[in-house]
Amino acid sequence: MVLAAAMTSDCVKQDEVYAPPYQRRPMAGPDTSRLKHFVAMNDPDAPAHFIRHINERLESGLWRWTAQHPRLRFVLPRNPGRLKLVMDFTIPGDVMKQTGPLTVKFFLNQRDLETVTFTQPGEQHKEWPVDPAWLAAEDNVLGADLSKVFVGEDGAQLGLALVRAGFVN
Amino acid sequence: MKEAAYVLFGAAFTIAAAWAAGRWMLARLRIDFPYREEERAFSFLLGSALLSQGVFVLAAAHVLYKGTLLALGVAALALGARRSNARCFPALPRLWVWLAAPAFTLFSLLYVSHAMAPEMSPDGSAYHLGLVSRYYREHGFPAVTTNIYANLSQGVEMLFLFAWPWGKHSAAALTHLGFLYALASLVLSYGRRFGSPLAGAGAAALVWLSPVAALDAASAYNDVAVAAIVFGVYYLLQVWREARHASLLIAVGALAGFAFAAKYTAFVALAYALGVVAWQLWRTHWMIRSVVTVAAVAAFWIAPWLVKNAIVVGNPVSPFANRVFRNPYVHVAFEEHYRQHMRNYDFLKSHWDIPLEVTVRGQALCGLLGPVFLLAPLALLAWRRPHGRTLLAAAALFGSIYVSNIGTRFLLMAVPFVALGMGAVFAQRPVVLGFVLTVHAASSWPDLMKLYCHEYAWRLDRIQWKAALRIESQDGFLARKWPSYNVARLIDAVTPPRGRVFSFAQTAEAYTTREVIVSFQSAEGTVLRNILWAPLYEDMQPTRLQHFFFPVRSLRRVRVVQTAAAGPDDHFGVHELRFFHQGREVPRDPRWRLRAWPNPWNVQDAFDGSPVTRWASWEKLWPSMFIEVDFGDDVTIDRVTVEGSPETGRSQVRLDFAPELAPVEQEAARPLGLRREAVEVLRTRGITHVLVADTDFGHEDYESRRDEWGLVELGERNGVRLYALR
Repeated sequence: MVLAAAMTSDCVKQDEVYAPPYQRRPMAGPDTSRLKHFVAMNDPDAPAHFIRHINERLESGLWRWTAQHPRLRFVLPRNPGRLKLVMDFTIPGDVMKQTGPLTVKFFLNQRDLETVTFTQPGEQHKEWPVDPAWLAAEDNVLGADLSKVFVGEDGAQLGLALVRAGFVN
Repeated sequence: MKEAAYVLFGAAFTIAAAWAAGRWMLARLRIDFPYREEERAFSFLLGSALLSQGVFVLAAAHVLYKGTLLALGVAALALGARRSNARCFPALPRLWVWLAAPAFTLFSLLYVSHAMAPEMSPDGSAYHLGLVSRYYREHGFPAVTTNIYANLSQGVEMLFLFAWPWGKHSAAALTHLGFLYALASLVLSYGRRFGSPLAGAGAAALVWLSPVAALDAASAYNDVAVAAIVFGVYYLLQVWREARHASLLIAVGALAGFAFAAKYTAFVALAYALGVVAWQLWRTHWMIRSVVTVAAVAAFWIAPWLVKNAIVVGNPVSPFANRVFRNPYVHVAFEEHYRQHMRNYDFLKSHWDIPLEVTVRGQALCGLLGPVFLLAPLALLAWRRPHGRTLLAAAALFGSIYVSNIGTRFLLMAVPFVALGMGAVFAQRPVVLGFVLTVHAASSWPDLMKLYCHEYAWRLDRIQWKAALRIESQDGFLARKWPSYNVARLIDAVTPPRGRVFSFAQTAEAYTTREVIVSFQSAEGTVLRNILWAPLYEDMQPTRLQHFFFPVRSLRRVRVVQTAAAGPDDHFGVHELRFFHQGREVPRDPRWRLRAWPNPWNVQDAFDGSPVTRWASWEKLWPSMFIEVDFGDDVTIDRVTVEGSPETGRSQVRLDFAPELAPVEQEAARPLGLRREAVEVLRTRGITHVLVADTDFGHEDYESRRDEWGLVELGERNGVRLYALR
């Protein structure tokens, strides 16, 4: 009897094979073929987010040098929810030794977020609440303008050691 | 009052039809019980088996209508209308009768009023009758794949279904109460037939007065019915051992099969019956034939449920044995969790508390047998008598099932045997028996129970005569007493007829006509729950990326294999599996073919681009679990990215074409907009509404950020909110 029932149960196939589902554009989540809403510098896709003044070379598997006017771009889903903009970076002691106090103006698209003067080197975590009106329909550009940068003997400009940046809920 | 009359008619018609069908069966089998009392009880039990089977056939044929059920009942009554030649047992001593009569009357009022009052038992109003009402609404068995309770055998629920068109919920409960009377009558008859009327009377009272038996019987549950059927099997076998009437074996088979049809765990009744028959006929030429007779007759009641499950959910014994009968409807992980949960109730602090919980406190294990059952170990003294040994062996066998579910009512199968053992011991000193029964009766009365049991013990309330007679309307009574009812009415009031409601917790489905998907009642429910939890639990979000970088290759097929050894609880899960070439993702193509093992059915969730869905193994880790893509043609790639979540952090993956390659792990940012995404995905899966109780995880978030979720609150009842998906 159990055997008969078990045979009937073969109606459900054991080795199911499926085609990919309909690829609707998700309401959330990154458009991974291009850009994300947040990027860590050790993300293999990070360089796609750089507009300018961010070094292609990954340092210590974790961070990248910026120059004086770094710019990154991000994309957002259609309904991103309440957003904050986050940036993690370090001001290296060697940089500050040469530049002295460093003033940085942060902005999102055309909107100034904050201008800060750093007098001590070290790790920094910055967060700014985001008004939905500030957001662009396509790319959203996060920028920082540094008052000074360290200039190496080879002429390389070194500003912040950028670790990660982007939007979070 | 009119409703009360319908309730009485529904139950009376069902019980009468069952009894008549049983009378017909006994006549056909030429089984003549010498005593009218046992003939009545066995007629009811055997007829219930027949009637249940008849209703099953109607439901399977999708011809469940008031007319067909009426015809079935009338046919049963017509067939069973015949005079009985049985005589009554010798009268019990008048003193006993006079002493018992007031208690019998008073408790009967209590029981009947509860059964007739609008049904508000948790499981009865949720799934026992929720499914019954749906079967009747849809005129048969729909293919229910989202409720494990629809996969359990429902032999007693078929009787509820018979009573449903006339008296609805309360008629079902009242029908179940009929089994308590049948059980007590059988226990009493057993004592009278086998030489100890006093022990039988004492045992019958112990069973009949037991608070959990009474409450269970006065509700649309099935445990008391199962206890009665199982005891019937035992009783018939005892009769057969003396009479050796071959037809009795057919009746034994019918009841043993019906026991399974009523509840899976009662399969032991068949095992017991086969064992007793084989043992009694050992090395006789009758043995094989007799064993086969019992098994074949039992199969007539067992097979329909197995076949129904095999057809609908691909597992004849669903929701169990899902590793053997793999299917998309019940996860292996769910089954393991369910078994674990049934052995460890949340409010039970220690297993050492079980004796007190099941006899005195009554809260942690949902009900109490009564304090006198603390004396149950004394039943072991019955071992000195031959009948005592048989009873205790049966008690041990049927009690052994208790380990699978430690709720008090799961002891009921063993209680009649223990009670007969206790009765046999106490009957040696009638004064002691009288004292024990007096204490039992007093301690089982609701007003006195309050003095010793837990405040929230599952127990009967006072006599509910106004509600029973519908002097207080059903709506008014339930709205006042049963929060879940208000939620069900809200659902019916504000959702469209074809609405599909997701709920984290069980609700009174018997009072709504909408489909409710409960989070813990199916694989689909669990997946939907996880989708709604993903935005709230960081560990369920796809922030654990594993990148495999390799020199560019042309491949037709890629399999990602899980390599970690068996782990304690972790599952293997993949939110998305992506392939890249020179930094750009290879677009997914309809020609791709996706496979996964185990749980192949959700593999598309790893290719839908949604961060709130994932394919998961839904069972603990073992090496060689996999997820695979056949591209259908050679595809050039230089990177594979497996997006997982911290929750599945113990799993390790490798690529089958480069097993030496270790992944580069990256902690990704939390995706944005998960709340809206979760609701959107629910909507694509056919869910139209969500129920959230104040006790559900994340309820504040659903309420305070409902705009972000895309939820519109339609109403709130007793701390449960109903949202529409916007």
